[in-house]
Amino acid sequence: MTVNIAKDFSITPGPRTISEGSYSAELFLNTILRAAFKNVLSQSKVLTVNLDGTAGFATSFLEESFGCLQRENPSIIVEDHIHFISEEEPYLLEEILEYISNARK
Amino acid sequence: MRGNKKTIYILIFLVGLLIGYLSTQWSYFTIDKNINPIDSIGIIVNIFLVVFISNALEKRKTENRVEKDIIIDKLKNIGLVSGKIIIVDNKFRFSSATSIFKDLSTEISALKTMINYTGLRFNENKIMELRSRYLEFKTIITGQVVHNDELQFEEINKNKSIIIGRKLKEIIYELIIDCNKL
Repeated sequence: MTVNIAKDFSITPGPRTISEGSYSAELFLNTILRAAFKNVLSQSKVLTVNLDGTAGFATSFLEESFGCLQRENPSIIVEDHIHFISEEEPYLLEEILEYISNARK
Repeated sequence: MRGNKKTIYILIFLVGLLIGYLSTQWSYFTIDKNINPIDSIGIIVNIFLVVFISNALEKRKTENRVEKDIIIDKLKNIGLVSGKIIIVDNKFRFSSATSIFKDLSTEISALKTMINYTGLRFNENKIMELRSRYLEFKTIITGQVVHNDELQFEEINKNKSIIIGRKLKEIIYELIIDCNKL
């Protein structure tokens, strides 16, 4: 299963919470990411998240989406079940893995 | 610098003295009028080697300069892009910030690729520092609360952002200087 943020959500991902503005991380988590993650977990598969094609991500968006996913699933190592694609910004992968790792602490 | 020049002048003077002395002692030299073919070949080979080696070194030096200029341009561009973040009235447009940081991330990644490709030996720690300063800058800027597509900065965070932005620029300048020295 693949989630392409630019195609399935928005090319302009927004801030952290719904109250802060449109296309927030909270909205992404609630409408797409959480369900997709549960789906792959139940099928013992890996979720592919494509980060390319957007206008850029705020730290708060990435932390709230993937960090929160880790906090909601403390017994699971989230990055073992998600394969990230970021051809445009290779450093984004390290950044996200850092947020997920921090969420486990 | 002045001391160096003095030493050079003294050396030139001493060499001049030596040449003068030798020219007055010319009678001690004997000139062999027979041409030794092996010596002649040796001289030709030596001349060829000198010309070949100096040409190769000059070519390498020119290539090095071009590679350095490309990397310096890239570093300058990273500095210019990061300079687009200017917080006015404790606000900065959220959508501009995310797009600027995407550009910065792409540029830094391209810089790393270029450095690897050219084989220029940069201090790896400084490249890592550039990357961590970038991330620090991105975190402080895009981590603020957003209202009406504007990042809202408290005074303390605004000041922190300015300091972190300055540190990012400093590491860029250091890398430019290092690149010139390589």
